[in-house]
Amino acid sequence: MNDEAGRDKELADLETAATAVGVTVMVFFVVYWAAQIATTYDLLAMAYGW
Amino acid sequence: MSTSLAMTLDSYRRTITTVALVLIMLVFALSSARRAVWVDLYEFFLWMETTWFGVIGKTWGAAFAVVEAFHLLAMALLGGAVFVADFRLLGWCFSDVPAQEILDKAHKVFVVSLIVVLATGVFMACGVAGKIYWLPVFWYKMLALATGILFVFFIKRPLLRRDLNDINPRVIKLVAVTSILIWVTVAATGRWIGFAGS
Amino acid sequence: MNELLYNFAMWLDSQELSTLLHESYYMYNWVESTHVLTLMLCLGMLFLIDLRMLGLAFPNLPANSLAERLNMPMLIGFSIMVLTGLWLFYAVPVRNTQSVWFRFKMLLLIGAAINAFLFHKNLHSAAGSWAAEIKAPKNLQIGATLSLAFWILIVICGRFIAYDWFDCEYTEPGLAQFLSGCIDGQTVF
Repeated sequence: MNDEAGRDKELADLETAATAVGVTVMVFFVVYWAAQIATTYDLLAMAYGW
Repeated sequence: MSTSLAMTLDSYRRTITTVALVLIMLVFALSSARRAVWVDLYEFFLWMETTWFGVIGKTWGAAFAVVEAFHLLAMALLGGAVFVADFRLLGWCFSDVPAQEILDKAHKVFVVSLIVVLATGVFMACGVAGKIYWLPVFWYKMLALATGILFVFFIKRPLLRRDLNDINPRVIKLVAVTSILIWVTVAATGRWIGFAGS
Repeated sequence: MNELLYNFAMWLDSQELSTLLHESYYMYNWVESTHVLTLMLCLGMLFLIDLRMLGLAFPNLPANSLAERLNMPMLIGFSIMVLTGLWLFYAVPVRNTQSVWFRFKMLLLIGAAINAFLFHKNLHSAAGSWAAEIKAPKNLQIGATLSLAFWILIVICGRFIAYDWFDCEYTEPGLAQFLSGCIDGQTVF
């Protein structure tokens, strides 16, 4: 029983860590690409003046 | 009170380490430490160009191009391993085959291709060290690569070694999508190094 | 023949869209990146199938079922590569037409296609008892090895297209110019 609970705790730890990294990566990804697209758009706007 | 807190902290050791690592990276990126380290690394990058790898890479264009091609081939294999494993986690293919079987075998292919990608990558980096040092996209790629390696060996593998039926299915899907995002970003930023330098 | 190809390339080059694609830093690089990144899907799946036939990857999975299932993602990747490849050719038609590496690459692609056709024929006629074995029958192993060789060379040639070692502009009349199909008195790109 005790062993089982220990394993479950370890799994909960693993799941939480995975979620934390997953969410961080997603947020970073969205911000990074949004910034990339925005600067590209600005550059093009400067070049072609629309 | 303090013992129960200590116990909670203790049972979330991996989460705490992970979050701490992410915070350290964030602080590093947003503080002046990043610039200081970057300046210090300049000597190292100059040295890279003087190594055998650097000299061959700089003076023998055909050798550099062949290594580039094998870097791409290893990237393709790495992509194959990542996609098969993650598509299985998302339930898009091989849903009748035990996931562990696919994941373990795909991981073997992944490790071999990662080694080839790293070896050819170091060679190429030595040849153009003086150039890539100045490219932000190169550092983004290193960040993505480090994240990818840590993610695979510190999060993904330990988690997926467990019985998949016990793991929250949403977490499994999140892990799969994150893995695809990271490795595609590594490849995309890598390709962009070539454009940024020209 | 070279003259015909050259004139066709010149005609493509004279179109406004081709110039636009060629001169657009972002559009060209995005398409180029997509072309290269799709290797991960297309060749990634292909390599896994080939390595399975040789007993080097996924030895416990039935080989023919693995080949069948990875076929679809591979073909999706391949279609994207063909589309982006055509696009890239259209953006820089003359230089590609007169690139010795591009020409080798096209020949190798034809070779790979014939090999793939034979491989699938053999795969279908050999279906059954061997699937659980670690290595595929000899003829499928040969097909898989050839496929690996073809695609390794295709990627090398593809990567070499970017280099100008044998461009008409930088070579003297001789073998290189003959293989590249340079034309006397042509406009050099």
